[in-house]
Amino acid sequence: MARPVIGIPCITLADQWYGPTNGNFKAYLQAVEFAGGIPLLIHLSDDQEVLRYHYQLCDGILFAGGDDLHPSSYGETAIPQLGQTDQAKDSTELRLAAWAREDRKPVFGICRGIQLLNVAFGGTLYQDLPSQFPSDYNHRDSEDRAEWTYLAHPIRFVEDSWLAQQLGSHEIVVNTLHHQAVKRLADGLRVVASAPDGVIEALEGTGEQFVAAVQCHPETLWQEADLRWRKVFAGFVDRCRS
Amino acid sequence: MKPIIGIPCGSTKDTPWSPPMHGHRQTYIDAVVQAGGVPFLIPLVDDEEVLRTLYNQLDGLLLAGGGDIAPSYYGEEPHENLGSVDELRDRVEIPLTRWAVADGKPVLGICRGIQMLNVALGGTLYQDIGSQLANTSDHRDSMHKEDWSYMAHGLSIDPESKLASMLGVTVFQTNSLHHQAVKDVAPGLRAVGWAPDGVIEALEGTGDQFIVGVQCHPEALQAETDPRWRGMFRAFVESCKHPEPAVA
Repeated sequence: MARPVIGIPCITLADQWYGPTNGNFKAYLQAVEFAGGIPLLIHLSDDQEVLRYHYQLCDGILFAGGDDLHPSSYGETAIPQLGQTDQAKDSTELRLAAWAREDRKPVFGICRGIQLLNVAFGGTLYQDLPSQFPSDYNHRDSEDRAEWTYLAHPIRFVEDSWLAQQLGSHEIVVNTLHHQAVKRLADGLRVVASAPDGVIEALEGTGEQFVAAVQCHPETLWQEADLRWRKVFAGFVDRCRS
Repeated sequence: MKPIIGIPCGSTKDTPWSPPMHGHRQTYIDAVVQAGGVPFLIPLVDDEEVLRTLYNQLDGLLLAGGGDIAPSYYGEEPHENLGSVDELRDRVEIPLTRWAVADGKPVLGICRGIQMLNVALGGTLYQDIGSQLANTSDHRDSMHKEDWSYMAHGLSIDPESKLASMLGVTVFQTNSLHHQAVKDVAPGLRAVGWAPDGVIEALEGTGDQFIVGVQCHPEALQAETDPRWRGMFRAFVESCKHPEPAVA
């Protein structure tokens, strides 16, 4: 198939009487489509057999934003500041990430996605930055302004990172809508970008599997706010072609 | 192999400032899984090549509920009581429906889905039941009650229909959450279910291909309120096992 299929696990929205909805933001789907891929939504399911059908059609997986991972997935107990969690999302995504790692399928993480990949590889998270990592920076700044594309703070990349190469810059300003972050880095990953306060903002894999992940939300930036992100999505889709 | 059932997405938003989301209610997914299928949420993609690639993976098509279809698809001007229209969703569902019917892939339409099925094959719709059809009951009753399982009105199914044999019943109660309905039935389809006020509530294909549309929301009933609907979902998924194999 000419265009690679990129799986995107869903999030669940609960809208009172209307009942829970499985889906994801159009911005992720369009980013994949624009970059030359076929977006495939993967609904959340504990049914491994059904999930496997989706997985096998995927040439790569994009782990998108969403609720907090439950800290039991990295051996911690929940602190009071932990946000909403979604058991079905955790189990679906951790399973997909493990399968992809086994098969060396390319993966890309965004926001919760960078956290998910770090946990799937054996790392840990800050459950809540304001209470566990005091800083002058508000990592929910774009969210507090109710503006996805608000560029809140710079991030600086290491010299030899794939992401910096795709972006064509080693320092960029990004949007920020998170309260958790990578704490202990997992084996098999390396930090390729940080915020000025030291919060980890991007990871890449060190092994054969293509792994790249960012803490910001480039799926809402590539359209207008920062066109350089298009090369990142295109680069990921290209890595899924082989 | 379990058959893959494509469900084109609807659009929704979680906060006023958030960008739109594509997805569907969990009950559609559960109904397909329960019947032995693998549900595939189909994003509303712009590119027809991308859509065609997704379509090629499918063994069957489930057209779900949602907003109104643009009346231009059946040659009418918008009525003042036309509801919200999602042009992209129309642009995705019209070709998917026509491809599936042409290729002999089974199609099940629910609510907006029965309307899409009818329009894609050349039929027309009442743009607003309340203003265009006299002496009708409130077909949004379960919505006003904010209760998917609220049985709003009776439903009579043609005893000779395939749908009747799937359900094992011809007169029963159902939920109702719509304000549009089938007007002229498209060629290749026939009406097989009616509300007491005469509104068409079910269609099926006149040939051997599985083509069924229902105006109510059985995906919200099959789990608990009325398990007889599982017969329809099972028949749909079963029929998806036979036609041409999905192209990888």
